[in-house]
Amino acid sequence: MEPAEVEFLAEKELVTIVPNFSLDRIHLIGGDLGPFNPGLPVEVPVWLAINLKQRQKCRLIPPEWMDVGKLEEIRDQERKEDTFTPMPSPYYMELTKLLLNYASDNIPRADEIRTLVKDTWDTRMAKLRLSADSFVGQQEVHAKLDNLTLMEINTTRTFLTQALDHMYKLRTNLQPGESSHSQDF
Amino acid sequence: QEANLKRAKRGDLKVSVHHMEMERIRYVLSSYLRCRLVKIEKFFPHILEKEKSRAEGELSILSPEEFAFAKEYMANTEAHLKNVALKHMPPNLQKVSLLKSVPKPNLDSFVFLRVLERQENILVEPETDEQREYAITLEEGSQHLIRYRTVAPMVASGAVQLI
Repeated sequence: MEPAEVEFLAEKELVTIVPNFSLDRIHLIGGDLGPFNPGLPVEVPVWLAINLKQRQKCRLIPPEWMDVGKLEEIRDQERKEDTFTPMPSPYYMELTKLLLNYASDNIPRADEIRTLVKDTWDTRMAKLRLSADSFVGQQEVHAKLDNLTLMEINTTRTFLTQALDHMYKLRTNLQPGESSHSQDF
Repeated sequence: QEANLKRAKRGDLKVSVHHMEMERIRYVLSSYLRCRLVKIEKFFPHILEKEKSRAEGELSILSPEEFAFAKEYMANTEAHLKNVALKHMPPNLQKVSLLKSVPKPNLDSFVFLRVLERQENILVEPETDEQREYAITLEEGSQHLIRYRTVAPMVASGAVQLI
C-alpha cells in the first residue's frame, strides 16, 4: 500500500467543524451529513473538512487528543513501555499531518504538537525495527501487533514480508524429500 | 436577490460535495479493479485453470469482463511466445506449458490481519525442526502477522480481515 492510500483511508475519520454557511442535510452515498448552520459545530469526514476549510467555509476543531498535555503523556508512556501503547486514533499520524497542514491556525501550539507526535512516532518506529529484527532472527512464525497503526505497519510491510518469504523459501528448500513449492519442469 | 444567491450557493455546495464523494468512490473502485487486473496478469494460467475446474453452481471468482480479459491475455501471451521464439525451435520443443512455467501464488507468504471474530486453537507450525507447533487464540480486535496458509479459511469466511 502506498502512504497516500493509507492517508485516503484516514480521510474517512470524522472531525468537528464550525461552518460559516448554512445547508440542509445532505444524503451522501456513505451516509448523511449536516444540517449545517453558521456557528454550530457539526461532524464531517476529514476529506470534506479540509476542502471546506480551504474554501474558507469553516473552522476546524482539533480532536481532544491533539493537545500538548495529552500528547506529552502519550509520548512519555510510549517511551516508558517496551511494547506498543494504544494510540488515541488509529490514524494519529495522518490526522496530525493533515490538520496541521491545512488548519494550523485553528490549533493552539501547533508546532509543539507536531514535535510531540513526531517524537512518539520515532519511538514507535524504533521499537518496530527492533521487533522486526528479532522476529526474523528468531525465525518466528507469528506475531501479535495490537496497537500498531496501519501507517506504521505499512512502512515495514514490503521489507518484512519479502524478507520472511525469502527465509521461508530458503528453509523449506533445505529439507530434502519435503514437497517443495518450486515448479517442477 | 439574496434568496437567489443563497439558492445558487446551496445548490453549488451540495453538488460539489456529492461530486467529491463520487471522485473518492471512483478512486476506490478503480484501484480495486487495477489490483485485480495485476493479479490476473501475474497468475493467469492458474486462475483460468481454477475457473475450468469450478463446480456447477459455485460462484466464479472473476467477473465476465475479467474472465474475457484473462483468456485474451493468455491467448496473446501464447501467440507472442510462439512468434518470438517457439516457432524457431526444433519441432519437439515448440510446446511450453504456461501452467508449469508461470509461478503460482505463494500461499506461504506472510500477511498482516485484524481479527473480526474470535478464533480459538489455531495451530501455528514452526519454521525450524527445533521448535514445536503451538496453538494460539485470535482475539477479536487484535492484529497479527502470520503465514497466509494458516489463516486462509478464515479470510474466506470473513472471520479475519487482511490489512
